Formats: sequence, structure tokens, C-alpha cells
Amino acid sequence: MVKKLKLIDSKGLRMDGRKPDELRPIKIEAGVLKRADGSAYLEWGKNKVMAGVYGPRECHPRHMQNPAKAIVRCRYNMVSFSVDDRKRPGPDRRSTEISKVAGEAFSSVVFGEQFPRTSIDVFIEILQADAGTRCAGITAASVALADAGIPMRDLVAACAFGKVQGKMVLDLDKEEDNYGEADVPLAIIPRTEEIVLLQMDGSLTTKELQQGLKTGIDACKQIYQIQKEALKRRYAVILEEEETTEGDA
Amino acid sequence: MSIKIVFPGELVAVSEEYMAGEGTYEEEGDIFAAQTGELRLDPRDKVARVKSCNPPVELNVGDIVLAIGEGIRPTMAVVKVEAVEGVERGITGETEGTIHISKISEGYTEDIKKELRLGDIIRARVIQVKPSLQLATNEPPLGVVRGLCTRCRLPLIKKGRSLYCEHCERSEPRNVATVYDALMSRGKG
Repeated sequence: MVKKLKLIDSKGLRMDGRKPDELRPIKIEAGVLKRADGSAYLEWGKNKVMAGVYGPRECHPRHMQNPAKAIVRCRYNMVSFSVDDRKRPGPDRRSTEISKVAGEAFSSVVFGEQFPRTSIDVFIEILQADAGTRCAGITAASVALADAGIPMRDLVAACAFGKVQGKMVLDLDKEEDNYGEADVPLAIIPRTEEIVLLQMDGSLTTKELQQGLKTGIDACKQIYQIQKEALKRRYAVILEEEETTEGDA
Repeated sequence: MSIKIVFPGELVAVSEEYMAGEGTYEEEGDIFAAQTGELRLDPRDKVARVKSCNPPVELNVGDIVLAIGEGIRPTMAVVKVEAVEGVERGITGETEGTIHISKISEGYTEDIKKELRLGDIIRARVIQVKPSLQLATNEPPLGVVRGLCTRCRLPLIKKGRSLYCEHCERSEPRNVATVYDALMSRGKG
């Protein structure tokens, strides 16, 4: 019999040395794709995610158009080499669901009324996966949306929390996700703390969920700062480019 | 004056002091940024605006655009607007525009087919955006900037006031823009 995996050691630290309420390191870069209207690349622990935004552009097929506002369409996709076993390419039940809930999360922040009959297309590509990819994808896509200059109420920040060996932890990695008791992805509007996405895999008591939500919201606010930093760097680059072109002319 | 950069959701002003202008929104008495960009507080008109660094491209009256001929009707031509000249980003909103026969060339037009054919790329000016997109090519620098031969579909070259196909050795009438050659060498754009 295989020895049971020890996810949390006697000091209360996790397998990768993190404290229960500690995030994995996050790195975001905005404006990485030349042909997309807005884009972002994100590394979150071992997750690697690319997000691209196109639009608002004329919506095809036309019957999907909304004469009152822009629609937000989202596609979440895991590339075939993103996981240990080859992932069969193409949409499946899981990615269709994630696309839907992520798109709905963005619809609640985007001001679509300014662009009737158009669509805003968000593409999330998971290049390397290590649990929490939907949160990583939403975080990256929200930076890409802001990079595309799409008017919105706020950025969306996302983070997961869960329960591992009876303890509430933040931002589960793959082992914790596979062998833990619960995984709860959460996306919020940081300013108002409105929840735009909340799912749960496994089970928690009401008390545990409330405790998790508290740490989750705090973590989302940390992520929000990282998102803003990425946009700030992006803006500095754009300003520089403008100055050099003006110098030429 | 130093430039202040704001991000979506950032508090930029209060509604007692300013009105919410472009790139901002108002909620419960506060004004927040809706786009990433430069904050501009207008002290005279009392309007808070955010100038986006990468705004969506919307067509305005007077814009010079590049479009492709999609349909020829007896009194108008239907074209698909592909881009605003000099802007790389795609267009937001309606892209199907029409050119009335009276606005297609400088003189009197008897037959639209002598001015524009299907698949031609034209350079046009936007003369109306709402309720429908209307374009005009009745100025010398406007008109066809890349014409295709109606017989062999190869690009035509400018010869005098019309276009000429080297392959079929025949010429075709068009409302040729004065900038035909300059834009031809750059391709579709």
C-alpha cells in the first residue's frame, strides 16, 4: 500500500513550503500579442496562461447580436500539452462550462451599452496547468480586457481556496486539489467585493465556507494589485513608444 | 503637469465636484475610471474624463476609411469597411456601408459599374454614421485604390484615368483615386 500523501506537515506548512493562507508567486505581463486588441500573459505558480481579447467588433453570427449592448463571448481552452497526460484537443464538458461561467463573470463588469450589436471575444489559453487554471485564466483575461481599452466597472480578480486534510487553505496546487477535500474558485470585483463567480468541488460547512471566503477575498485584493502593476508597466511602454514616434515626426 | 494614470475601478473624483465624462462612470456619488488611461479633470466644465491609451475604434463623420466593394445596385454600392486609414485596430460596430450613386465620383455617374466593381478596395470618407453608415468617394484622393480585373481577377495598374490589365491587355473604367499607386505598393493595409 502506498503511503498516504502528507499535504500539510507538522509545522502547518504545505508541500511547497507555503503557509495555509499564502498564494503562489504570480507574474503578469500585459500587451504580449501584437494582433490582438488586448492581451496578457500570466504565470501563477506552475500555471501558464495566455489571454487575448478582440473587439468590440461586429458580432457574427448575427442572430447572437444584442441590439442594446455588446455581448461577451469567452473561450477557455487547455492546450494538449498543458497537462501530464495529453489532453484531447477541442472543447469538452469542463472547458465549455468554464467558458460559460468566465464569460458571465466578465459580462457583469463590462459596460456593453456603449457598443450595441457587437461582441467582445475573450480567449483564454492554458499553456501549462497546475490547478486553479480558471482563476488564473479569469485574472489574465481581465488584464487583457483592460489592455484592450474596454470600458468596465473594475478589473476582476480570481483566486481559489479549499480544504486540505481538514484545514482551510488558499490557492490549491495540483496535489492539494487532487487529494484535498474541497476546492472553491472565487472571482470578485475587488472594489465592491461583489462575487462574480463562485463554484465548489467537494464539501464544506457553512462556517468553513465563510472563513474561506474571507481569506479568498483578501487574496483577490492582492492579485488586483499585481494586475494593476502589470497595466502600469504596459502604459509606461505605450507612452515611451508615443514619445519616440513623435520624435521621428 | 504630471500625468496621472488610472485603472478601471479607481476612484477619480466625486460627483459634487465633477460630472462623469468619457471613460468614467458614476456610482453612489463617486466617479470611477472605466478604462486604463490618463486622467483629465476639466476645471472649467467640471467634467472628469479618462483618455484611454488603446480605445476601441469607432467611425466618425469625416474619417478616411478603406473598404471593399461587396455589392453593386442600380443607385448605390454596398461596401464593407475594413479599416480606418492609419489605424491598425479593427472597427467597432457597423461595418457595412453604402455609397449613393451621386457621391461615388466627382462628375455625373451614369452607371456605378464604371466607377467601382466587386472586390475593389476603395478609399472613402465617412459622411454619415447614424442611422446607417454612408460613405463618399467624390474627391480626387478618394476612389478605387486597388482594382481587380473583371475577367481574370488580377490586380490592375493605373493607366491614364482608367485601369489596365496587363494579362488580358484591356483597360477598365474606374473612379481611380489619385493615390492609387502609392497604396498599391503597400498592399491591402
